[in-house]
Amino acid sequence: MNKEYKDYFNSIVPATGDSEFLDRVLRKAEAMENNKKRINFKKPLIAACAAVVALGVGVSAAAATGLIDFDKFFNNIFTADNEMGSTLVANVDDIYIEISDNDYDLNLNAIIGDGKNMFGSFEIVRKDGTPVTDHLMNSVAPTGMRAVEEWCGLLANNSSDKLNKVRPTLDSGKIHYSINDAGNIDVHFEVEAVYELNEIPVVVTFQNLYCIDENGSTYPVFPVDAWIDFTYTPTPNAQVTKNVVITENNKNKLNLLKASDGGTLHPELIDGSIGCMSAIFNVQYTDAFAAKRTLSHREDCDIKLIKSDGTEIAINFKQMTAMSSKETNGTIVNDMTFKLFFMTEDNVRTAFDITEISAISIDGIVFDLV
Amino acid sequence: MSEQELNEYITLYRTTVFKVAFNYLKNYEDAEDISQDAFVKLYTCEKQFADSENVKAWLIRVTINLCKNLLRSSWHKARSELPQDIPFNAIEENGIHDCIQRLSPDYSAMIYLFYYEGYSIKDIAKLCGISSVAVRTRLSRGRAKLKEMLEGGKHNE
Repeated sequence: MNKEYKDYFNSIVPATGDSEFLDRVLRKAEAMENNKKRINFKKPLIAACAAVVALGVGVSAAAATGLIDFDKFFNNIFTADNEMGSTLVANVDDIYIEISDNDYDLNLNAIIGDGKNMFGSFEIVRKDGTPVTDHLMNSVAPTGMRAVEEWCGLLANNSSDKLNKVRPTLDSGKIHYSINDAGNIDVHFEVEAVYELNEIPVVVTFQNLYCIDENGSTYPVFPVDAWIDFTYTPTPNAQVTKNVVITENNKNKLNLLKASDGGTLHPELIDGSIGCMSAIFNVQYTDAFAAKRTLSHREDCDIKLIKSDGTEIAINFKQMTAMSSKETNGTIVNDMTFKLFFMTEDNVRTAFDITEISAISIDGIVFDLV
Repeated sequence: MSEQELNEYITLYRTTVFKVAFNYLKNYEDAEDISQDAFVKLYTCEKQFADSENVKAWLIRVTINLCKNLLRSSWHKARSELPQDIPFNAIEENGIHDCIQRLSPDYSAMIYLFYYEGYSIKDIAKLCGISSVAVRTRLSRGRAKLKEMLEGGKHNE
């Protein structure tokens, strides 16, 4: 190694001695242990939330409202050849994008989720701004792509360094491709892990994309291989409980969902402020309704958060998990838990006070939250 | 873990941990704090390590994560980024020290781990939780950036 570099690194030494350092470590460890015993998991509601978190950076003020400037959040990110600009990412770091054809680019729209579930959205574009569809390999490829294969999301397992391939199949709900209005390819993917995704490197690769037309013929579509590499760090959840209220008005209207006590809205705590990006709704009901319904991947489900002043906050990007049921003391009690991950419809971070959310509307059915 | 074991690990790896933290944070005080936090985590974790080298790698990995968390925090971003407490008599403009200080944490950390600590690309990828491709790219970019800064300044290689 060059002597000057070596001298530089040699010069970086701690200022204190080891014994003093040991003492400080032990005192910190003791303080941490004492603090654990005092932690109250019922954190008070703190005002200002953001619908989507960028890099886990907190909202600036407790009562902040309005749009948030993203530029300052991207200091530690770099990409292969493009700028993140004002795209929304959440809880990620070390984003690295590599693409085999320099005419193309990947715009990362959002990555959100909790410890074991991750949902992501990005767009494949061309740097010259022309629609990707103008350049697909097959000149007669249909405009409506129905299936694209050979995409795999890779999770590196911390303990063994084995790569677990998440290889989604068509209609599994794990991945969804579409051509958007700009003629580019939108990709939504989902990763469901059996272990925590905290700071585990996630690699998403594209290769050999093809599509299938209505006749079942396949077309090689996208000649470009791409690689996105990032580390995901979910922010801790604050404990906030809101109950869903049953009313005669709402309990019979939707045959998939009936509400009882137990709904909870879980904001995510980001560096001292609350950012709301996931909600867990627990509903229970007892009646003759016995059929199970599944709300998995109801992307078409229209969901709005309703503030106490009547303002609706539309949910744009979302995923939900399924419903289950159980029997208790001879009575059928249907439980439904769904997790909702969302961004606001206008794709910007709009801070709002979660205490202001008084109801949730699902497919037009309004459920009051108390 | 016993205090004696902790003390042994501190003796062995404290300086390495400190250097890693400093490469990320460019600040002696923050590096010292993060070093303490890393060893607190070692002391309080229940993980069984196969050998001493595993402990070192684990410490580096934890240190990197702690540094990244700190860099991401809004509190940290509100502070000045210029280090004020470098114990050098003078910081030569565009000298090695100045240039590495000005490199982004990811680049300087890569250069440190690869050239000074002697880790392989693959090992660095594991330590930092990124792909080998990303390590190679950051090394390459870090070197290019350094070269650009050095050639553009008063210091000659």
